[in-house]
Amino acid sequence: MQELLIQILINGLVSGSAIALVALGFSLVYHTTRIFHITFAALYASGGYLFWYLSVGQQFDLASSLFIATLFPALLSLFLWLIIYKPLTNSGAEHNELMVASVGIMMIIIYLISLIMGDDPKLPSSALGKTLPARYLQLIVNIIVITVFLLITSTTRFGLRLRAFRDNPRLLGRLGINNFYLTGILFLLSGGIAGLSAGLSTNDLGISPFTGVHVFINAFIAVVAGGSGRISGAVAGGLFLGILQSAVVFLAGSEWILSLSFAVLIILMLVKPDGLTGLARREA
Amino acid sequence: MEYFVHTAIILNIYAILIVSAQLVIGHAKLISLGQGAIFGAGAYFMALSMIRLQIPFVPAIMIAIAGNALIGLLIAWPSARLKGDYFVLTTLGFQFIIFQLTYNLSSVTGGSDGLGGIPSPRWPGLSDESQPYFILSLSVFITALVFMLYYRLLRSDFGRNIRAMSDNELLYKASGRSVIKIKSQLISFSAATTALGSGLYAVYMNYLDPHAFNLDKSILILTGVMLGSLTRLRGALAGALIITLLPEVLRFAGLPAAQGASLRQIIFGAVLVGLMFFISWRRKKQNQTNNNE
Repeated sequence: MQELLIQILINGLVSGSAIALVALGFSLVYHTTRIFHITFAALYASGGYLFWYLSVGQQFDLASSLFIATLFPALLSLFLWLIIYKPLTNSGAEHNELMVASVGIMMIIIYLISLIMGDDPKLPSSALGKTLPARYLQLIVNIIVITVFLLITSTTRFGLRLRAFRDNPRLLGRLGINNFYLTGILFLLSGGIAGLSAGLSTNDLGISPFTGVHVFINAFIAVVAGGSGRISGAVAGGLFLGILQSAVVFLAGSEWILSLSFAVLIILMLVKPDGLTGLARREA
Repeated sequence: MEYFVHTAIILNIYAILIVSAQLVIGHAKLISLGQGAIFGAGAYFMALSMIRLQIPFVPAIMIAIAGNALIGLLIAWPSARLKGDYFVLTTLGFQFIIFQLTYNLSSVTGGSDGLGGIPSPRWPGLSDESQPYFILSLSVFITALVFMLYYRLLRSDFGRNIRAMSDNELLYKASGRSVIKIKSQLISFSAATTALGSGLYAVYMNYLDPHAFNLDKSILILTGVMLGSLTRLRGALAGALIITLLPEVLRFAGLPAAQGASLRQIIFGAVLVGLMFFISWRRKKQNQTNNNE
């Protein structure tokens, strides 16, 4: 019984830290721009597939595959912001229109991937995880990246600007701080986190075209559960959701994960609308 | 001729789905990514009551409508109380939940094998050859009924209330009306009329596959609404026409079926993005001319 509990807890920590990391990446863009950035799902998929192609297809070593799989979605994210979101926002697009455009980009990228790589799930090669089991590698990297991020946002000037930008982008612009570069950096970081997380998870479990959408939903649930407006909230929400999901897997089976996380989300939103860490929501 | 009849029936089904989705997405300005699942839920209600309970067509479609109205209330229950993005998130969630239910409850729904042997309604004394024409007439009749219903609805108090609510939620609330109530009503109503399309689909295809009601279908319906019109009934028909004919055009262009499916989704994605650019560009231009006057 005790062993089972420990097993649930460890699995929960691994998947929880993974969800926390993507939630962090998603919240960087979501909390500052308020775009329903579902393209994030496609960025994640692109990172995962690139990692799989490099490590399994081209026999690259783990570190360089991970590096390229992180770099590419980061640049893609920045590029998409420059050619899609920014011009749309500049010409006064409404919230819903940005959302629909984001759905469109997601479709294009995901189906480009499935056109090139095929629909079948790609499994990780067993040779890769030899030095360190893939799960523990994932857990360690996740924890390091999350900790570094939380430190940066809570202690540095950049983090201060980030929080100010989240609270009131217009005021920050009036104070003479360049929103353009700040938003660019956020999109770059967010895409990079999506890619890194996708690479790590592909190394452990493999990837299929719609994995990104599931991950996106988890990330969004974590952000909402953790409390909107706070980056640490996303992390708390992710860990909470991961442990909950791993308990659900033991009790009911993996096919019901998403349904039950949603049930929890809905209950949580109705009972505690400001999330676990509770911070008043800024209106979109 | 058979091909023409098939396309025409599919067109009618899409027209029903799109005009129903228009109420939520266009009139109430609530972007939904769960229309495909609502469509699927209706089809499964229909099929299960016809196969498992041996109910004839008309009462079965009533059950599907009632069932879908309940599903609509279920979706509205959390999401009408929450703002903005949470509605999309909830509908996206329901999309996956309904898929998981139809896919995993294989003892009831047939799971990944699908659900076959759905009987078609038959007109007494009609030969087998004219059966497709009968289904076509039935679908034209139901589609006309749905469009008339929406025509009346949008000109009624209910329609005006929906527009008032979507224009300014706060003002609507301030005038003593319940936003939650009207959102629940309209989401439930839209789901109920979607069930008519689901019922037609079930009895025409005679077979249901959970994959036919996935996120792609939801995005397809969203594209149809966006392409046609957010508010005009004629636009819903135009949207249905485009999303029915585009795959056929692609097929005639000689694309292999395997790539065709992906390529079609890519085109729909590009259409969505392009459309958003067009809409915001047009609004900007309008604002400029207004300012100049």
